[in-house]
Amino acid sequence: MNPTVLFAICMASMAGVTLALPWLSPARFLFGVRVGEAFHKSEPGRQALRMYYVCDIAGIAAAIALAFALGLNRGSTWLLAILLVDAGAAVGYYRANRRLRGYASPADAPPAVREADLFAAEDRLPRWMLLWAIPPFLLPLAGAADIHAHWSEIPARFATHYGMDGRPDGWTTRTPLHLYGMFLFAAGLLLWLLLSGIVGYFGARRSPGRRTMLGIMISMMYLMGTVFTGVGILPVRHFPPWMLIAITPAYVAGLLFWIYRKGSSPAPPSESTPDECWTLGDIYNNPNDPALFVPKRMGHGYTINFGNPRGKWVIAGLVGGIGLLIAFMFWMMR
Amino acid sequence: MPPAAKIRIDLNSPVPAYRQIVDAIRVLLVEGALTPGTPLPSVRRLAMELGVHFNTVAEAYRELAGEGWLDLRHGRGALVMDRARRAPAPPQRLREFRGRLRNLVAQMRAEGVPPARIAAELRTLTEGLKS
Repeated sequence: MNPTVLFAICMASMAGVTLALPWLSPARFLFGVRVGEAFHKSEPGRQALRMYYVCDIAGIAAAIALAFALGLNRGSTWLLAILLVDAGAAVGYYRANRRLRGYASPADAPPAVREADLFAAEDRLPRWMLLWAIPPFLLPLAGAADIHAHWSEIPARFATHYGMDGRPDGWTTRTPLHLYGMFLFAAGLLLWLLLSGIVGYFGARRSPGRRTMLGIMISMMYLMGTVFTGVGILPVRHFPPWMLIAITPAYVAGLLFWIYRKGSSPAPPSESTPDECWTLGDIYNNPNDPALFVPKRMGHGYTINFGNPRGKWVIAGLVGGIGLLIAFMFWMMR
Repeated sequence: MPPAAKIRIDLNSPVPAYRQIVDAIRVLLVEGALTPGTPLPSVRRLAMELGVHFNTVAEAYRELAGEGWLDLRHGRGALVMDRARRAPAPPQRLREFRGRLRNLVAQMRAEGVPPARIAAELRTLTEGLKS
């Protein structure tokens, strides 16, 4: 695939996500500030949205200008471009959040009544989880079996990395580590995603939202399983690598559409978390709340409670786990 | 599957959260909604659901265990006990209850609830509690 086309797809995906972000959040929050559902259409609400869009679009424009100036052949250009888009959105978010703090409306807070079911037996992982979480692990297993069956057909030196134009620019020798390593990495990543989903499930209060998050993690297992198994079988199955890259934006677009529809459908307000425990409307720190994960105010999903002593261990475990996997990948490709 | 046994607390209420938890669970126990042998959630899980500190729930469980309602199991929550019917309360305790009821009735009268309605409410509540 032409690098310019690939870059255009990448930028369009990132721009789509960052520009849609204010509309993918719970309706009663705007840029992490509790302002009520009708506020988006008020003049201050529109001003805050404009402020965010200006910064976000400036970041996107700077990223495109940088790509034209430096060329798309270097990986660092891509990284810088992605960082510029993120930075533009982050600055826009921060400015809009600061502007809206004066409009915070505590009257819109849900009542501080909390309810709990005393039947502990109901707090179990849903049965569908096991049913849906197992098949992704079969993907790397099938990939490894495919490699094993066609071992003799693999050349002694084969391509392991492809440039943005689709041509191979990295090679390695035929060893068990180089051929099966990708499947090990994929299995590790799937396990990490599953464990993250389970930790999130038990670390959050009972609500339909935590089941949804577990479902999203499992759907990501299918995506990651497909992509990395696809990469692993490239030495024996010859198909254009861009096909694997194209799956991700398609998945993200589907997910965003689903989140938008879910967010715009009428739903009762979710749990109440004290406004004073949120920093910038995005970082939750409440030592008196035993929940490890609480629903986010910006975007969809859950965020960690940094005030929970176990929260630091969970973050260390999750970051350490993904760090180990990345280290393994680099060691394998050295 | 037993019927739902839910408790509610109001974090803005002047009544301490632990007292609300004790009162709410005791009502379910006296009404028979929680039968002997029923496991209650762990302190950690119930605290998480209610959004209160672990110590708040632990204190509530300890008080109910002290009254003979719960058997506390380390790390595994609590189990509802088969609580034998107690002997009638001594006169001193009855005087305490009478004082509390008197205050409550006075408060209801002060807020305009007619005496007949108060008597009916008390009767309904007394008959509603099975054990």
